[in-house]
Amino acid sequence: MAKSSKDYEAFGEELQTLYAARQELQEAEYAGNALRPGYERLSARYEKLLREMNKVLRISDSQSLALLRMESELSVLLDNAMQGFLTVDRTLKVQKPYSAECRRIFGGKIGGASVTELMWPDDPDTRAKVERLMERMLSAQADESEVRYSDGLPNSFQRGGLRIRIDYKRIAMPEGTGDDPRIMLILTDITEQYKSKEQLEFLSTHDPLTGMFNRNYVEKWISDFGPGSPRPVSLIMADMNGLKLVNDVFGHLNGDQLLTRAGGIIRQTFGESAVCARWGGDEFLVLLPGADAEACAERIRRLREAFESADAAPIPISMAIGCATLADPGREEWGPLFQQAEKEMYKTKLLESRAIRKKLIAEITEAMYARGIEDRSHVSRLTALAEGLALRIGISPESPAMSTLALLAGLHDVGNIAIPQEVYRHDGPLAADQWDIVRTHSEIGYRLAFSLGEPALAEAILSVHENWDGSGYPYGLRGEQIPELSRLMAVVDAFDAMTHDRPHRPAMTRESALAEIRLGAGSKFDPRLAEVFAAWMSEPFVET
Amino acid sequence: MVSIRHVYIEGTRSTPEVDFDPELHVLSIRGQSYPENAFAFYEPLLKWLDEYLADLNAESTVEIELQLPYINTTSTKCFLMMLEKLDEAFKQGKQVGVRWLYDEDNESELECAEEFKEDLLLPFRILPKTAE
Repeated sequence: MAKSSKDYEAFGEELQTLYAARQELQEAEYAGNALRPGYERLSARYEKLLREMNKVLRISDSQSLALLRMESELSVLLDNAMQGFLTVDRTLKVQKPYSAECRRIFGGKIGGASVTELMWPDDPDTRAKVERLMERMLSAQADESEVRYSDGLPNSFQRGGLRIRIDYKRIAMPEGTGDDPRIMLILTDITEQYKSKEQLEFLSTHDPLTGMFNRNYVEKWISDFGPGSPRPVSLIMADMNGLKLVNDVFGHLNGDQLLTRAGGIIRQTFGESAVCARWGGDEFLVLLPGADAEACAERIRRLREAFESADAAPIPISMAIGCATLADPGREEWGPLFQQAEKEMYKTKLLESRAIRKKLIAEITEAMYARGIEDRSHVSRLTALAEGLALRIGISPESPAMSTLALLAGLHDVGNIAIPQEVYRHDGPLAADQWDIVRTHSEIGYRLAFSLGEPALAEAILSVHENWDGSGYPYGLRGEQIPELSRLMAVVDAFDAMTHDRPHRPAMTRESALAEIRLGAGSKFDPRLAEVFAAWMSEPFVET
Repeated sequence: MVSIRHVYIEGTRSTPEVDFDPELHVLSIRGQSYPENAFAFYEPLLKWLDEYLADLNAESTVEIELQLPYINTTSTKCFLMMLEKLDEAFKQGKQVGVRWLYDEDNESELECAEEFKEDLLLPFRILPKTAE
């Protein structure tokens, strides 16, 4: 009867019993036995029962295996879904199984733990509220309306630096299992999305460079702070001096750092109660709720002090500041207030501009001395030589050209301030790329002078290294294409350099230097200027 | 003779849908079967089948359709009994057959169907559901 012995291997004893019974039935001595028909029926039914039993077991085994496979596939799916799946019953305790992500979120096994304790360990109020709502979900009939987030179910929680979104779903357990309904919680780690969202929200109200509030935020603040809002409130507008110069000369990275430092000082000075914003490129705005005009003036004074004590890197921080105060709570005066503060700021800027320029030039000159780019005695000698030569070629002492020349003596190599120290201080011959950097100093000097509002000085600085025959830099200008002041400075600078010790060579005699100047006339130098200069220097009693 | 009534039982999570229509000779059982007391569920159906088969004339053709993705052990025993009754009727010359539909994604369904088919003489077609 067996398909194979393996099929019945669990029924070895039963089969032996069956075979034994069948053999006994064959034996002649039982042929007339009254029990025989019953015994035959019994053995036939026993055989059928065995067959059925064997079949049932095989079917059952096959289905168990299929269920097991399905279970393991489901758990692989759930464990790799990057979401936490767990269920709770009426006890609101986590039921087994739950997906692997739950273990990651909660940092360990959670079977049997109170789900609300897991999510809000330090918040008994939220726990109580959620427990109430979950109990309501569990006791509700399927056709009743669902409990929703709007009923107060929190849609997220935080744990161990993670932000987790929660979805709740009431699930009916399979009939016949006798189990009560459960709530399935689907947990999704939204930490990264949340950070991006926070970042977006931050960027919509803040200036990314300085971290200060932006115009958008200020406009909203003002609209919330309309008529009837508490007064006084003061407004400060501040325009930074020299940002263009720093950007042009030292590069935008330095300009950005200057803005960031200035913003930091403003925030530190006015504190958390003020709204400190970057209003535009180099303009800042501060709103001071509760500050009257006097308090505002005092805060501005403190701000100036803070700027003055800050490092001058690369230039000192200074600002033209204007302010205005709203004192009447019943009136909406934001527009005129802004105009007033702005007007005052621009007025200050204009009044201070000359003084600021002068101060900046002095600061830059000092910085050149401090860095060894220029030395005072060289500058004072150059100034004397340049003015002497200028007088001899007919430039009048009170002329604008003479003032420019005085500045040029101090600032002709100002562009070196932005040349990296390692290139500037490089010993021995420069590599081609280092030469390229060094040659940019004329253009940097030009931009710096231009930013300082000295266009004639800028032109002169740009051409100090041009040669009469067109072999100089940066543009290879020749002859009278080169500004006269640049040609003049080239002669006196070369002479002074030759007649003084340099790290790589000793000083030449005055006569040798003048011979070099004459030699360079028409090639390196303007022949007329070279001649006038050499003649002047050859006069008796000329000291340099 | 008392006419045999039409039996229709709606399917639940643990019991299959049963449709035994004696007029149209359409018999079908579709769905999972793991009732708490399987014998209590199937016993009336087995009785119904006894009556129906006894009544079935030689001209009528009936093919019972079975779709059983999962059945528990007691249900398995009940199905063995049911198939035995049909096989007996076939042996008596009645035109009785089985059409077993299985889900191709579930390996065990086909295996079980083949297990059930073994030892039976009546026409027993095992078809993937998609073929329907």
